[in-house]
Amino acid sequence: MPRAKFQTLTEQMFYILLCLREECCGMDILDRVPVMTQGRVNVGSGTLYNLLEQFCQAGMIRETRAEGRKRSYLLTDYGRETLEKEYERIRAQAEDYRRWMGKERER
Amino acid sequence: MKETKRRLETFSLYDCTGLEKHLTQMAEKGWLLEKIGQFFWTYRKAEPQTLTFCVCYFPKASQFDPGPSEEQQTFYDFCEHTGWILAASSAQPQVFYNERPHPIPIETDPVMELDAIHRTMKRSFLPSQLVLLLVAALNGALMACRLVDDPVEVLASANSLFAAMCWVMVAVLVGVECVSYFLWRRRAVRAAERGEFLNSHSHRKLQIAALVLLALWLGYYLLSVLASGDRMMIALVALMFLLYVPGLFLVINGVKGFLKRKKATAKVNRAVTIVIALAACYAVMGVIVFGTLYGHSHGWFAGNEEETYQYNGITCTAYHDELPLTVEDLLDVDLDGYSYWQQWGEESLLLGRYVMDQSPRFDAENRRELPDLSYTIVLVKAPFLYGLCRDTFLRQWEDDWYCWDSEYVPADAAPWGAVEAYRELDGEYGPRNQYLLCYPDRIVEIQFDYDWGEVTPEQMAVVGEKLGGWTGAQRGGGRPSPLFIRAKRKSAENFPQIGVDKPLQREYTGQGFKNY
Repeated sequence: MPRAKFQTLTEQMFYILLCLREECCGMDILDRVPVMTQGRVNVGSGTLYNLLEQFCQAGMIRETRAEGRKRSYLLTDYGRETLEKEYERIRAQAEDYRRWMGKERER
Repeated sequence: MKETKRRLETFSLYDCTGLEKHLTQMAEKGWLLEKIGQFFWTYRKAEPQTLTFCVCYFPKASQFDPGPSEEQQTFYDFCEHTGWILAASSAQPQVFYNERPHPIPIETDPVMELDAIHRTMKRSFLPSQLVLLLVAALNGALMACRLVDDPVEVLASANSLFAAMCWVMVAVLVGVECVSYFLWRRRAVRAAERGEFLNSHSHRKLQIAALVLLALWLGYYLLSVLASGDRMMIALVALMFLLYVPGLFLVINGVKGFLKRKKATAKVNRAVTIVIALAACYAVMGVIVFGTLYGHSHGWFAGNEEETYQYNGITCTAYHDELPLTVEDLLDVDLDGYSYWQQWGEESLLLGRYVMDQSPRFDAENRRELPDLSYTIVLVKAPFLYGLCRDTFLRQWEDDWYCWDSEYVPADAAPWGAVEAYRELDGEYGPRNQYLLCYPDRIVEIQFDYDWGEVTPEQMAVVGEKLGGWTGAQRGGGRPSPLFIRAKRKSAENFPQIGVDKPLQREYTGQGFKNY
């Protein structure tokens, strides 16, 4: 079953939104995500372009500035809420892992 | 040393994997993609190098755009930031290369990539393919109607067979492309749900085979048109291939290019180009058709065998074509004042069809005493079509509700040197002087003048010799079909006089024929 759009976020979506907690442009995101994840996650330029467009359409981010072709974006309240939900989901997942794998180890 | 190279590439639009592999191999050989044209791709000579290629799609782009939009340029900026250099683009497909080892791919999310591909396919490829399929289906239906109506005329026409072949190939290629795309997409969507990219593939061998077949068929078709010697047909085909197709191509591309240079928006460009293309399509076709008709009426395509003369203020044409059988052959006398006309003559790989007519000129002094003679010869090159051709002639009056009540009834084939022979039997007037003669490799329908009287066995033998060549009787190559033998037996019981040199005495009573 295909998942409903942005109900859960992929890793790339998660880090793009996380970058946009503060105003930045597309190229900043391309540079920051690998740094934030120590090279574990990379976002392709085409994927980033399409995701920024879709996040804007979904009202999760908004355009704040345009200097020529350089456009900057920032997370909206709805985007922040979505990011928060994703964080809670991941944390719950981690908690489940810790609880159950911890039990295994105790045995 | 050549600096550029042009190649005809036969990749499917959605086949990124195949294209990327091919472009990488070309770069390793020292050829870097420079331009994607409508037919050919241009490569520039470069140092052989290992480059990573990426083919991706910008669905919002259009071939009518005056240039890359600001959004598209932003996309290029993002790509450039990660080392991707634009090699070439053609509306939506964008080809980039990267000199860095192990670069970050342009598409890192398979769902997003599939979405871009599908939007591109829906915007440009699928609608055009659907239109092509519809046109092919429409042509197929028209061809099927004509085949049912007169299979001999259609199957003997190199034009009809060439058109049919082209449309069948279009339908097969379009069908294969569309079905392959949707099958690939279904698998790719499943893979994307698992976070995986699925390799794509093209049917390059099928496309190349279709192109080779089309080129061979086109060559055969053009040669057959040239060999026919029909000046009007040669002129028409030459105009179609030298004026119509290239002319339309130039007009459409010229208008599109001009509006692009004038920075017209994609919407305006598309609308104007479509209107002008349609207008040019009809205008050029109109010029060709009316020009050909005008030329024909003014004798531009007349051969040496034609002459015009005036009769009662009307311009008439007399022909001096070489006919295989003439009235003189049959009557063994020399006669003046005839026009010898091969009305129709064409051959395809399957059949040949020739229509000949010998009739007196209007200005001949003894016009009323000169008998007419006309005949159609169908050369059956594909033996499996023999029965169909014969039955088409035999059943020609079946649906002819407005015409007289005629039918072909079996007659004695031996005097004609034929395998089977039939004579036209008119419901009102009795037997007519029209015969259908079946020889092993040809079918002849011959019509003698009303005043001819009964055709003598000697004249039948001359017809057999000149038109049938006696080949069947001499080689014993043909045997009457069981249908003919049964029909002949039945006919011998009902109409014993037909086929012998005595005139048939019959009377139509309103409830059937009465023989006496």
